[in-house]
Amino acid sequence: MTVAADDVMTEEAVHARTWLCEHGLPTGREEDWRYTPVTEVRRHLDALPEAPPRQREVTRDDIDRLAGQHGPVRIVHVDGVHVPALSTDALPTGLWFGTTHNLSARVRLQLTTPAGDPPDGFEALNRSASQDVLYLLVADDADLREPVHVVHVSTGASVSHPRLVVDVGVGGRIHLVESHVSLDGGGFTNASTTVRLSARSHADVHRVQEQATDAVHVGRLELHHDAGAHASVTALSRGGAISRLTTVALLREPEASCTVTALLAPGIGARHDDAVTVDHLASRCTSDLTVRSVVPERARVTSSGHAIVRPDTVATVAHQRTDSLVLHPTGQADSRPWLEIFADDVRANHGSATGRLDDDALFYLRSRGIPRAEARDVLVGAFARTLVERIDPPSLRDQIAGWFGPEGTA
Amino acid sequence: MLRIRDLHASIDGKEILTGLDLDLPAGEVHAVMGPNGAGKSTLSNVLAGRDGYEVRGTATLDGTDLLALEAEDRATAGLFLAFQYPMELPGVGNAYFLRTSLNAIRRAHGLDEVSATDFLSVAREHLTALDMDPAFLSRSVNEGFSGGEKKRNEILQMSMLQPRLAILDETDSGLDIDALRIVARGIERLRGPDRSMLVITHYPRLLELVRPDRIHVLDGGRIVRSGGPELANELEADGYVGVTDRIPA
Repeated sequence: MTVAADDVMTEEAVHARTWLCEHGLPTGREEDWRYTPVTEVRRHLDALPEAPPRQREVTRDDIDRLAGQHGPVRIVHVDGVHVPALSTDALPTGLWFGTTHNLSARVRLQLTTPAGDPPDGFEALNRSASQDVLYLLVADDADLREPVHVVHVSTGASVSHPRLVVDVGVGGRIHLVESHVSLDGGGFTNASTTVRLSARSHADVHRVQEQATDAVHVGRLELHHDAGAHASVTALSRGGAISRLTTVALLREPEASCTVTALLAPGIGARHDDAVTVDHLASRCTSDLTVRSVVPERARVTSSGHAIVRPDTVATVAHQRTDSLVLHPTGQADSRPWLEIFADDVRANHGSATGRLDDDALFYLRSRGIPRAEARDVLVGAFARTLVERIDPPSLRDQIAGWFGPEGTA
Repeated sequence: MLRIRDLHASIDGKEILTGLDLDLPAGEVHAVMGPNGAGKSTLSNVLAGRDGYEVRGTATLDGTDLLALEAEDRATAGLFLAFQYPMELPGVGNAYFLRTSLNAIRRAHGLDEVSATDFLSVAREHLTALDMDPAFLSRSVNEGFSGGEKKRNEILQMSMLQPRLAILDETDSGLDIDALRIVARGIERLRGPDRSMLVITHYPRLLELVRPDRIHVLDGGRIVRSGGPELANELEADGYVGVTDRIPA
């Protein structure tokens, strides 16, 4: 069967649009969205126009300044539209890149796989409204350890729906750094990334949300694991007045595994909601979720960890750990472990701790001449550092360390 | 150098220091000894500026009113407290901590900050002098350190920050004989005409290795007796009860 690219997308978009008309956007009454200020999110969405294509000129310097350069391959997406002039031409062997408008025959077959019903209204909106989907295909056994950096830029007060689909072939490997940044404030980003992991494949995914402080960001990262596939996801979130990230890992076949690490550092008064679901659909699957959040004045962070272990699976391992550092009495951190276990052979645990800065530690630093504010930064940086130190590439590690004040290794 | 007059300190409504007077001239090492609950650690905390105490009286360092300063400003004025229980700071590299501290003090005195390279070179000299492994620098501050390592780390900090006044709060507690000798050597190395030290201790043992110019006995929140180094022998022989019993009413 020959399927034209536009037809494929139209079919998916039409289905999503129909679904959206029937079901609408989520409300705060739905369990998965209970901690997200959905009414406020919807109000922003209703108030802003859809982004016109290339509404603002973006330069290479803008990208360097906003997102950094984290690998030899950089692909730039401005308000949901691919910009070749800002993107790398040469790709390493084993990597194919395309967009909605230049799909090749080899990816058509994969795209005809029915995407199914959207899991929620924001994903439906993304599928129906995204103008220029980015596709990255990793060939079987291709070992792409150098990061592929995908940068999504929101240029101003409008709505954009960036969408990225990554398909990793059997035994293949990719290191993806995905940055969401803002050229100007006030935008609404409704982003979606899907990573399909074939058998024995491996994906390192660093997702950086560093949008303007008054932006609204709703994001979804969905991972589909075949047998023996492993994904290591690091979600780093700082920007936005409201930020909601849904991460879903579907461990569909035996011996699939994932680690999800999230570092949330909202600004003063911001709301960040991080919801992770790992569905252990097959035997001998493992997952490990680690979340750390730093909560300043009037900010609120919610971290939900949902682990599902399906019936008739064996030898499942599911760990969760959430730690929050609340910097001000008006800050609030909620941790919500949610384990649904329908099998017997499971090792699962969860732990959670919320605390404030240690007065004795602060005094120790101050007694060495370090001013109170700097001492506070040192301790906040130390809290985050356990996760920051694991970030690779080093250029991204340095960028994230900068969120927590000057980093020193003497 | 340090002059304390009628120092009172209370915490949670309980008065710990009850009118303490003390003079510590430049270049001298004085020891403060006393039984449990005498107020020794309160004295060091109050001088270093720990929050939570209600304080009245005066304490000046080279004429500067210490009690009016924030803890960090007391440090930049030249005061250093070697903690009885040094804090563990997971995630804060020892080298980073030391350099941040050194540069904060240098900034306060209008001096240029020390570069990472220069810092490492200076730090290695101090480590060698204190018989410390350079690997100390790459570890988190005090995390997983033995009791002796923590105390040596305090002496390393003192050595690098070069304070005018060092208060050593029970630096000898929890040390074996070898560690005590190393720490004492570090303290002796820092003795000088422009530096004063207040050595707070329970036991005369440290004072055999670090000879004080004067010894003060603290009891009930004030100095009840002062004397020369020989007072340590008297305390060793008769204990605090014996010594304080002979204080004239």
